Amino acid sequence: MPITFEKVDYSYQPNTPFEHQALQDINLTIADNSFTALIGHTGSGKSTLIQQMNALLKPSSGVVRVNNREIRPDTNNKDLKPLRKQVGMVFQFPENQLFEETVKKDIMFGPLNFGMSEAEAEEEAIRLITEVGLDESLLERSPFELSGGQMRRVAIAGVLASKPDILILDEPTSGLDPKGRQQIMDLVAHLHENEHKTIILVTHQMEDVTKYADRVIVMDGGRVAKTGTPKEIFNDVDWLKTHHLDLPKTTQFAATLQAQGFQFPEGLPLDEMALAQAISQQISPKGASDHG
Amino acid sequence: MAIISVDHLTYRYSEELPMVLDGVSFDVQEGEWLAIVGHNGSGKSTLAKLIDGLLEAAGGEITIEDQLLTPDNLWELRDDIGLVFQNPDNQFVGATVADDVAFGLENRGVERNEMKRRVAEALVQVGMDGFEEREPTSLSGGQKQRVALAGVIAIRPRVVILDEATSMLDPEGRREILRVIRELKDRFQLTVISITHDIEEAAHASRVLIINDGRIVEEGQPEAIFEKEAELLELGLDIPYASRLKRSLNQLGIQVPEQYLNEEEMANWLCQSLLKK
Repeated sequence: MPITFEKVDYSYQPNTPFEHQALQDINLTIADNSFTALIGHTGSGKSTLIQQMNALLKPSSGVVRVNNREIRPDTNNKDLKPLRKQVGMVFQFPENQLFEETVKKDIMFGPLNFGMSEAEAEEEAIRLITEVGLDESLLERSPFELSGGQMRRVAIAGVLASKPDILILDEPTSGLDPKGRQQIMDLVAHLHENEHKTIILVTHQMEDVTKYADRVIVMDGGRVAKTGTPKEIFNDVDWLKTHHLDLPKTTQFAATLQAQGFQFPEGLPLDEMALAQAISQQISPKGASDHG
Repeated sequence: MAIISVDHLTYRYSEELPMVLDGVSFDVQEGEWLAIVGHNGSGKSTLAKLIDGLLEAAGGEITIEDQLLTPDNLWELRDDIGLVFQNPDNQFVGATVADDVAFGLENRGVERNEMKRRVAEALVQVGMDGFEEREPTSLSGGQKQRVALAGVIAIRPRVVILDEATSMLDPEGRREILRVIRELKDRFQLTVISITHDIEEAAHASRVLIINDGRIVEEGQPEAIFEKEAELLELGLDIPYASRLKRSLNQLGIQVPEQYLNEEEMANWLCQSLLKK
């Protein structure tokens, strides 16, 4: 079942002089098995929005529905445990939340907490360490001996252990080097394609949006400013600029070429191969050398 | 003139573990912007900590301003080297932005009026004046890193080391901090050492060192380094956008000049090749 938001408002510290309305009139549907990218300027409400999806925050007004469970302002916290099991949340820098003596104990922590037996949780830990692309031999190591990228994958394994069908990731590649970033995104793509998880990715990496997402939600000033496919969103260059959002490298470069006479009748391309193909139809194969 | 010389430096975290730095030698020229590029775990951050005296080398020598770095002159030499770390949240000590910038000056016993003046100046220089009384936690990542940089330049160092200082920032925060560093470098003739895995950041440098498995494997101007596409990819690094596009064009049988073109040069070359309608 999908996630829906209906007229959701959210304020931090309501009824105090510090009241700050972080979400205003949010209406959204996120389909099962979709891959949604959530983009927007720092402070636009992205983090507040995802915390509504597993009820870490409850709406000030309106209703959020996740897998047919309702989250309303007055929903009792006790009723939310099953929901939190279905919606896995990978926070920014999740490696900061590792704390056990061994990798195995860290991965087992969640499932034990959700009521799995010791033996089952251990079996899960062994399955998950390979699922996230790490060697089983790391299970007995201290998580703090691992590299940044490895620690992050252990943290993701811990979230996967409760078998969520929805996975929310808040800038999962931040601070990693190119290879580490690629490994994390390969893992996310694998979980989407092979494990059929619904993915919600908060990111500033527009290239990842074009490469992986089928739908984009743009947040601005606590509101949903726009939704659409990556192609729809990134072809409105002026609109993105006024909202202080970056274009993917390719789209930006294509816009530069368009201003100098290149034509992209099917819209600005999103990745370098698509751009190269559009270019190849408009220049001679030997480039400038042919006609001096 | 070399402001820092590193000679056959070695380091390992313990006897059982492999060398993190394995005989590294290079000079840093006064006034240059040197980028030290490598993937996570290549040894590049260890190198920064050794130069700042936060770690002690297992072997080899570091010379700073013609003085051999020793435990005795460490504190004196450290005044000339400012370090900005990766995580903006891990480097705040003050309750307000102004207190935080003042921290290093207080430690050095700078007189109160002089201290106030330098804090105010440093905040202007990083474009954070007006934020004096704000709590550091209420700032964005890019603003936090600019405050950290203000704390560093208030000490008036001759060398600023950026240890992955932009890698946790959003694209706007990253551009902001790099712009400020370029301005400061020009204004104070600073020497900048940026330790990074970001190829766009390395493009700001006058010279690039590539480090892998604790050894320097390449050294040259950014343009020369960026031509070594296959090697960069092999080392787990990115290549600049224009080079990625060039590889795609090559795959389609289009002959693009072999030398490194930046984005502007690539756009110009393509426009010259555009078939006339």
